[in-house]
Amino acid sequence: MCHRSINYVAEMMEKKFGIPWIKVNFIGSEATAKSLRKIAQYYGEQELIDKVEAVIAEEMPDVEKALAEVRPRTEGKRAMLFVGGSRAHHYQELFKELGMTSVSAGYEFAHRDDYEGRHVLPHLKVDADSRNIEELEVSADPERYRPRKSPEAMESLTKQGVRFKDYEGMMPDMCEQTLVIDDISQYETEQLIDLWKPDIFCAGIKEKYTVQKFGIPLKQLHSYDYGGPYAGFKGAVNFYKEIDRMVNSKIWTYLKAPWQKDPELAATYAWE
Amino acid sequence: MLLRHTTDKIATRSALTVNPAKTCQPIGAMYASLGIHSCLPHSHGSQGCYAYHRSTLTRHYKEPVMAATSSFTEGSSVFGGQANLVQAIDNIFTVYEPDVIAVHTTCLSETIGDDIPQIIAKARDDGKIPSDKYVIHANTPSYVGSHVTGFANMTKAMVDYFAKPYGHKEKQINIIPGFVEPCDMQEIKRITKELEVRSIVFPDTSNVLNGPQTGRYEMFPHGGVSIEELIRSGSSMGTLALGHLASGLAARAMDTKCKVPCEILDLPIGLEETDIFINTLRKIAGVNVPDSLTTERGQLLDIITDMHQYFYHKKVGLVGDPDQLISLTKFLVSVDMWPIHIVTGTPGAKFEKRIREITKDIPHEVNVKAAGDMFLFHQWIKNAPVDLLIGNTYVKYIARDEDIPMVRFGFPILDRVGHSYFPTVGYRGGMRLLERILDALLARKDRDASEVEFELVM
Ligand code: SF4
Repeated sequence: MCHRSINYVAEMMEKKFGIPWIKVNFIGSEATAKSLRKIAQYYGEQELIDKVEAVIAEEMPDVEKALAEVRPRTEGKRAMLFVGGSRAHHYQELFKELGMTSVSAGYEFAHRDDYEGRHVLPHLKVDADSRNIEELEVSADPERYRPRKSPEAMESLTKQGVRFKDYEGMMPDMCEQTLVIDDISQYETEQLIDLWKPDIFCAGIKEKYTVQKFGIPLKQLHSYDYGGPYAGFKGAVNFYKEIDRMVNSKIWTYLKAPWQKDPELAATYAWE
Repeated sequence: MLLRHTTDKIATRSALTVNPAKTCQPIGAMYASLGIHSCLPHSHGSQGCYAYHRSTLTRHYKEPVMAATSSFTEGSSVFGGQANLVQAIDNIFTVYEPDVIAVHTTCLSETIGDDIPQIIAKARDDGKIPSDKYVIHANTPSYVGSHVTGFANMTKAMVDYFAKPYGHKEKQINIIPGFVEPCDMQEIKRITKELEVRSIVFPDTSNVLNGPQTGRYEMFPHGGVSIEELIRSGSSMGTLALGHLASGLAARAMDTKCKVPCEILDLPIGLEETDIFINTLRKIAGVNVPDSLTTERGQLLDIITDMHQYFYHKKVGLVGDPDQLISLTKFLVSVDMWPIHIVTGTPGAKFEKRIREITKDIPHEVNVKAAGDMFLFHQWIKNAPVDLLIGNTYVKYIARDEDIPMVRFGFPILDRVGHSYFPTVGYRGGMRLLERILDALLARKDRDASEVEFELVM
């Protein structure tokens, strides 16, 4: 589901029906394990907690095996991600697992909290644009509102570290010396590529062939370039292999013709 | 299951060939001869051989393939074919009036031991060869080598008979294009012309075996290398031979006879081999590569980078002739495909060594065999299946039984058109090859995809 709208929807569901919400993410094997554990923790049932641990224990060996094979070849390479709906954030998990740095990232239609986290929400100033958007106000449904957890239970879960209605945004997860760019333009894209020569660029179909003309492979993260799936454990393995293919292929070494590499000419017929 | 008796159990065979991956020497010799303007190939042997050779070439090109035969009977099989050949030369020059008769032998006349130069000399002494006409010959015993050997032998005969030593002074380069399609020869000439390099290309079957439908039959079409050019080839600056097996012999003969130095390259199939061909021409002729060729190169590379995911680590089985297979294997490896079964019927130890070298980084067992056959190839596939087959028409039996997509490439192609019109050499040829490979792979994907996986865009 669209990550951008889901926070609003979750918020309204809580207000109207009493369903609490937590943020989960299934892109990246670590993130998947973490999200599963979070969910089990919320329900607090031992059987579910055990089952989640069993699934993780079953899935992780394949993930680790794939990583052991691929990571030596991807370690230290650089990625850029400009793709919306949380992908520019969450796919960084996968790149991290591959030992790659996400040197630049951004969304096209993001809100500030997508970058900086939900703690900025109370301080947002209403501007001309946001004034035009109708605010949907919901209130507790007189019949169907039923808090799923008592205030005490919520309190106790929060103490155990479950963070309700929270999202920290993309920025805290990015390293020093990296760039976050909102709604990147063609000009900025070119500058970035020039400056940082990434090993892979993630965006959509309209960017694909422009970026590739610079000799840099582009992975679509909208349609997945008709590959995938990349969510969950098996998805992570798919992604590792795909990125290995893209950043390590020799085809990108053919860009220059021999006569462009060595334009020097023999004076005349060499056999003379 | 037409090949249902082929099992996956591979037994060592030392004598028996099953479903050969080659054909016989005279076919190549006949094809090469047709690359000389106004030349009538002549098969010195029985009528059966000649019928087979003409049929195969005709089926492959869907064009008239004219040739003559010594029509051996029991008598000539015992006493030799001299009388038949002398008579044939007389008849041919009287009735059909070619400029050249190119005689090749067959298993039978080779076994008898007919001395062709002596017979030609006799015909000349008897006044059967008009003064402005030529009879050349090549020995093409089919129990040695293959059609490629026959092609090489006849191409060498062009040097032996025509090339005139004259110091290597003329600012032109001989190009021996190898046993490739007429359109390939045309493409090689086009590239050479774009580079503004003057060349003599021989043999040259373009416009001979891919001629137009005009409503009028011409026994000797406009194409082919002229006698005058063949004579002048002895005074060229050098020779560029494409394909070691098909062209190396003639190139070295030219060097020995006329002191015209040669460079022997692999066939310019694929990005890297075309790069090498063009770069070599550029350097030896001291010319600049025009933007038009650099653009074609970039277009080929664009297909490679755009569609790389569909080539990546796809396993391929190849059947064909050594010169083609060496370049094709290199091309496939360069786009990250895995050619893992490679067979040619043509003998030669170098072939296996070169293929091993080209495929050494493929993390999969690679089977390669020269003087192999399609039975063995099929068995390899049963043991290690592939995603794609590339080869001549005979491969379609395996493709059908094993349900593997197939791209037709090589000789002979008896059941499709296009191979004589659309080149596979050069950058454009590379584009066509990739287009067809992709088409085969993606059509299969479309066919087999579940409803969930079926993709509109690829
Ligand atoms: S193999 Fe020998 S006998 Fe058979 S067609 Fe060829 S030349 Fe004739």
